[in-house]
Amino acid sequence: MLIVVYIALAIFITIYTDGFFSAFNIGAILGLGSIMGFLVLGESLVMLTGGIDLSVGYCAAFSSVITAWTMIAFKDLLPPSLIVALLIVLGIMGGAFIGLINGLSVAKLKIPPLIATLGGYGIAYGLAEFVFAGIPTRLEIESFSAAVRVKVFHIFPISSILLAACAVVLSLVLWKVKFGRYVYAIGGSKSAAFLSGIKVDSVLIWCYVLSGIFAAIGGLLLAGWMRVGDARAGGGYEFIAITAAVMGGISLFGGEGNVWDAVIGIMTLQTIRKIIPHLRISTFFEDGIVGAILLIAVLVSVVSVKRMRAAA
Amino acid sequence: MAHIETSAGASREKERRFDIWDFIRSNNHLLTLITLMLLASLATRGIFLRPSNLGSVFTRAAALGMIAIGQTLVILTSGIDLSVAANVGVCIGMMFFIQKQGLGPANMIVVGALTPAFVGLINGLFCAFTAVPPFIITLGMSMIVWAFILGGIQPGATVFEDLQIFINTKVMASLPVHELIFPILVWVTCSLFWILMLRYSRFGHNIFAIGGKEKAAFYGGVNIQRVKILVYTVSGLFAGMGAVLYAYKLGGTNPVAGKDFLLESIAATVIGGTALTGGEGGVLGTFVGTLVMATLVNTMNILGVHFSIQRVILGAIFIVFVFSLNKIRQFAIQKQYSRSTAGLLAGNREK
Repeated sequence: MLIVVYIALAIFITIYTDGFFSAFNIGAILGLGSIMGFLVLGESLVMLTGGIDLSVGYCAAFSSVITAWTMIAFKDLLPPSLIVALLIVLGIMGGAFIGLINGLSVAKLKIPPLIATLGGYGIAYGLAEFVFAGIPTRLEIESFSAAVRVKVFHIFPISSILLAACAVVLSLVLWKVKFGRYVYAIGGSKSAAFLSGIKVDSVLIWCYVLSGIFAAIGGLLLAGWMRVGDARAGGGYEFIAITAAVMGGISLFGGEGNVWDAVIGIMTLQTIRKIIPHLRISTFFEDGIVGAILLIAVLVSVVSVKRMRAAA
Repeated sequence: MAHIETSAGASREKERRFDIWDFIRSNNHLLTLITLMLLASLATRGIFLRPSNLGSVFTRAAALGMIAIGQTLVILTSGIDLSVAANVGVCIGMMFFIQKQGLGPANMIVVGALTPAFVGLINGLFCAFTAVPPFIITLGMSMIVWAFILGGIQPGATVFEDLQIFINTKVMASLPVHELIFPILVWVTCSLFWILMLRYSRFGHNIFAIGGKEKAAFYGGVNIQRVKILVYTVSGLFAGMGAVLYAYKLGGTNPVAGKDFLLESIAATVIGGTALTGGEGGVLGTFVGTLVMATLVNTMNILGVHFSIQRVILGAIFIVFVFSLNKIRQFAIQKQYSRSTAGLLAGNREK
């Protein structure tokens, strides 16, 4: 469904702008789009359980700050290749930590996901800001960002290939592995899942931790892409991730949708965001347009769910 | 049978006896505030209790308190308003715009407070007439509003000295109190108004009815749409009024400065004992909850805690509070339930 919309959009764009789909523009859309795509993967996973994760944006910011910090802190102690390995581990651990807090508050403390992850949002933001007092900091190791910005065939950035791989694995897990079926079961009905013997708590905690980890991978790539570690870089990405997931047909009430459509969702959204400066509209309106798309997408999904229920 | 007899006998005595869970449940915000203030004065070695410091705590609380009143009303209907920060931003942005047009402070206040109310009205219309969850509506609206502020008005850091002078000379001069008390005065008056509204007016009762069970409220003849639209509009209006107080207190600010108000207003509401599921709590609790938040921030400032660590601590405290208040509520409900079943059994036996 969304792919049809995307093709229509692409045809429209090709007709009304000259040369928007150049190799450079496609590379830029795929680059930032796939970085946000990681956030969308995590967000989709949480939304499939019927939850929501507001902390993904600052989770990514936190790991991007960790990237810059590790490079400075271990500058003279370790060779660059080891530092990069270390910062990947540390960044992912940072994301997993925030995810764990979210997961424990949702599963064990029974706090509504919206509120729990709002707390996690505050924690992640504070931690990210604490490291460099909120000042964007240049990455010390140039080769890291050079590696992230490598484009295969001059079109596909590394991050887009990584995202495709992760999306394949995640959709296989959701489709074939027990854990994945449990995610859908919990999203469908928590109490039914519990009564049929699923360990709801641990599945939920894992979903939030994975969401944190995906966000952290996004943050690492974001730092490399932007060449800075910035505590405010990921601010607002959570809204974009939610919008993309909803556009991709992942239900806000859980248990419906698949990860692939969500990835197409973020690419569509990113294309729209990229076309805005091309049409000479102020980039400040980007978020407003995303907000309007969010409202329309949810409205459509709510209406279609109602229709489906009425038909059933 | 013997067991029932004893519990029934005990239950009648218990009616008048002190029940710790009930007491904690109904007074949790006050208990928190008193404990926290004691801890604060101990931790800061009495600096907290100095009159000048207490004054600044209350003034700081006033802006947040106004915003939290609106948030409380929305949460009481089991909704949530994620657009309060954007509303604060749009108020400051519009005041900047009016100031630049040279239309004077009175217009600044009116337009500044009414623009967020308009945003709230749109929120309310969406919430009333569609099945989209409130948090998505208010989230989408807040993104649109931010775009309007940053792309449409394009304000910078603004000095609001004329606003301060206007309020000090025109509004406060006629009153027999110190002029700096203005934010506190507005906040206390509005809180009192809403406490009375929630307790005695039909509108207030309808808010609780919708939060308790929307369907039951509908069949009970409540005009759900009208109440929802009003509640979200009021939330916008109060976010705007809070922003005016904020600008008055600081004397100059920019729209992005109010971003923390989102988390803080929800935290103040929750700490005040309003249930996130709606239908339980009220503005009195939020008044106290706001003071708790202000005390916390003030103490951390005196102790020299880094501002980003403050954010971490507030986030953690937020989670802990939601959890423990849920637990207390559960305990109290269990107690009530066991008492009422015991009473019921006793009644049956007498027949």
